Amino acid sequence: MSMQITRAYDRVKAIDWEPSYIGKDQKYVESTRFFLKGLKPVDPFKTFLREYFKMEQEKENRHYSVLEASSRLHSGPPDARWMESMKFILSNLATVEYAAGRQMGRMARSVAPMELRQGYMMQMLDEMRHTQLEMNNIRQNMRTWEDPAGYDIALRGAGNNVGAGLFRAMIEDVTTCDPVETSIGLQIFIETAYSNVFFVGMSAAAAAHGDNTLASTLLTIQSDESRHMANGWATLVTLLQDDRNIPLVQQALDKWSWRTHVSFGLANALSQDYFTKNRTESAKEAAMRWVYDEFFGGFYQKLERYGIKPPPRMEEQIAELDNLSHSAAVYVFGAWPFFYHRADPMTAADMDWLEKKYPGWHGRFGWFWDSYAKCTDPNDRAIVLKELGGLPNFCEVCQRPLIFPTPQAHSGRSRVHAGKNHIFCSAGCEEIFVNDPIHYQVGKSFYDLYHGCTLAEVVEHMGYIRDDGRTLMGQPLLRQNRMWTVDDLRRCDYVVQRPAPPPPADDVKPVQETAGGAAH
Amino acid sequence: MTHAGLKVSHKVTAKLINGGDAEAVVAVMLAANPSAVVKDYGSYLSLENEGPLFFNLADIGEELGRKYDVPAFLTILASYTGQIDVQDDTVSIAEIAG
Ligand SMILES: [Fe+2]
Ligand SMILES: [Fe+2]
Ligand SMILES: [Zn+2]
Repeated sequence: MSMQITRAYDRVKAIDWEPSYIGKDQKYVESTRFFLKGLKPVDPFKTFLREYFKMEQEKENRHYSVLEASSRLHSGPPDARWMESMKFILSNLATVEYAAGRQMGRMARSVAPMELRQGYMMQMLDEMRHTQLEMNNIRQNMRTWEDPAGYDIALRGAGNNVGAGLFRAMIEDVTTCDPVETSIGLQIFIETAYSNVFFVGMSAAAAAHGDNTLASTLLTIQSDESRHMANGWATLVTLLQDDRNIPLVQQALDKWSWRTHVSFGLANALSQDYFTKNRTESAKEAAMRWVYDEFFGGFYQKLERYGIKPPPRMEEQIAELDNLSHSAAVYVFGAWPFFYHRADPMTAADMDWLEKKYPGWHGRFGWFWDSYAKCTDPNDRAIVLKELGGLPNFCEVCQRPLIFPTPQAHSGRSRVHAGKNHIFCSAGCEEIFVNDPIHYQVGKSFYDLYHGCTLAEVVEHMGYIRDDGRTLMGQPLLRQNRMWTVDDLRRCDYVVQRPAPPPPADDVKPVQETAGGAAH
Repeated sequence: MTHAGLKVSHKVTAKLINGGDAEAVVAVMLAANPSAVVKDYGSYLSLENEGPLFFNLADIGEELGRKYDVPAFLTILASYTGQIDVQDDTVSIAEIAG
């Protein structure tokens, strides 16, 4: 290296300029409610492009050597439960990463002081790289896995699947909120608090299930995340230099603590407990380690010196961990025809493990797996979704179905706003809506699209049919005498019905609008 | 001041992509920080310490028997807990000042 990083960094900083040919209004296309004038940002990584590209090149070289080696060594097929479940997970990751790239472009364009802008710009490139790595992983699985169906429609699935609505709602919220709030949603909560659970923690699970490709993909991605976490930290402490930002930051932290718990937190929990077989720690244990010890204890707690308080629903989030993955599994397994992978239901050994890790599991969730087991043979013409009373309502903030914390005692509720009834999964989501209702006005919901359609019509419309034109992509078992077809679905005689709305609750009060700062 | 539920953690961690580089990093760090522990999760190693972790790239290069620099180290740093500071020849991770 010809020049020291720190000196070069100062030199590069000195050549930043404001364009003379357009005004600030034209340059900064979006405003923020946060106060940014006069802040002195810090960039802990001081990375600039020459080193950045060198580093990323090295990461790619290492990653592709792993892929090379694993296709050469033929170390045996990976675990089927894992490979099937990853059809759902990988398709969503690719679209979430791409949206994160868009968010960084928007932040750099809208708000970033120069020291932070540099970090955001590199993060934008990173996120494009992540999308490509995940798309390449999907492609690799399509070529090598015994059943490519589902991987071949990955992006379509991420776009129209009802379960993928969780990811779409989460990442669109980050894209369309205040551009400074984007940093708190993405870099603080999604990246610092939650992405480690999946990208680092679950890389061990990938390896334990013989999926070295994904283990390597996840880790090479997360090595960029180190910088993204630092971007979040730098942005946050920069904002906290101005006391007027403290209540605005607090409000965003309160929102995203719950918002990320119900989305990324749920996906982590489901994956860790129900998409694995060779398990070590439970989803609850992983969340306690990564999110509540390392993030809330080692990061968030240190913000107290700025006057930042713990998020008000943190205890509720922790309490939900006893049921989060199990209720999510009721949804994803129970609605298997709406998905594009073969489900592998819990065996007796799985259930013993679940009972051991979550005492009382049998009593709370055993009934579902009993019903599931009775509805797997297409000749019986019984579909578990119908036996359980059909799909529930969905939350208009996070798109969770109204079965949380548990299907029997869920916290779903309605609220009338501007003459229209809105439905939420929880007090946390209702509160987020009340603070910013315009942000959550949905276009067409699942029931607007499909109320009155037969199950077969919905699945055909979504395109989850195999190449023979009749066999479903989604299946309730990994192996069976014959696979379910769209004709089998027709014979089950199930029509999608919009459920009655839940009653209102009275535990969420409208909050005072916090006055925001003028942009720039 | 702590609130109910917000347990303070003083732990600093570095999660390293498992492999030859990570083993050399861990060997150097354990020798220099007797209080540090390493946990092997298969695909990654978690280096944990109740105190700062100070990575001297020259020392790690010595252990590896080749030149080692900041970009090479960041290639295997999958994640961390704490506050990171990247300098010319060193990377440090310390507890966030509370
Ligand atoms: Fe990413
Ligand atoms: Fe990221
Ligand atoms: Zn919700």
